[in-house]
Amino acid sequence: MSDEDKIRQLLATYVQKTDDFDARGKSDLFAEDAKYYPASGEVVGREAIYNTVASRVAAQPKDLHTKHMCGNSVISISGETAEAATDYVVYRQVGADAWQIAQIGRYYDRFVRSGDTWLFTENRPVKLGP
Amino acid sequence: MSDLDQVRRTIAEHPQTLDDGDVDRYVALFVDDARLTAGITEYVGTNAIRGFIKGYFDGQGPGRQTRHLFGNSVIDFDGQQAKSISDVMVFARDNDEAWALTTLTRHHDTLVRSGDRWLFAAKEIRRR
Repeated sequence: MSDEDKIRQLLATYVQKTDDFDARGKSDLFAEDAKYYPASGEVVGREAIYNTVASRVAAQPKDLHTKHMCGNSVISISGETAEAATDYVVYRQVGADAWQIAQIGRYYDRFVRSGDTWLFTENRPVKLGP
Repeated sequence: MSDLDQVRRTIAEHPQTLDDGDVDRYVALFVDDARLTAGITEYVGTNAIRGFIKGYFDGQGPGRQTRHLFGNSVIDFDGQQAKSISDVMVFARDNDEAWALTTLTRHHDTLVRSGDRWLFAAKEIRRR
């Protein structure tokens, strides 16, 4: 598998863990000192990222479902680090309501090689529009 | 970067330049004598393609936002060129209105090596 494929797989795993509301699985995709930029601001460090995601999951409606679909990843690799710009669409459903498009945007991410795989060093979702 | 990853990168850059309204980066993805077919109209050469995309951007209102999400790319190499067929979902809205899925298209692309990159020699956009 090429490094580009490994990064594409990391991005796909990231959105699947997000939709599974798996805070531990999602935070494990980040390097120890990684930075995460949710709407609430900067979060630094894997454990702080875990706490942020776990708190958000605990506060959301129990019958919430989400689906993040990603595409158009433009990936640049430079030795042991890489960056990517990836477009996303987030669908949202509460209970048995109809699915709706909740948000559209682009992830601006940075990565570091870690053994045979890659980890996020920075994950910055930027939503499109107001 | 492998040829396949280079082709994937060019296919991914195309919608990002489109949604960013970036005429220069959009045109830079095509070789000089490229052909772009949108519906029944064909644009030949980068000057014609520049005119097409500039007209597309100029026709959009100031609060218009779009997102072209490409997927299902089937990529085959044939000698010195690559053929790719991709499905596209186009989302759009004005200002802070709700997003809507506005168009589904399929792009039939031919790419050729140009220096250390792969660029579009032909692109046909079909509605479906």
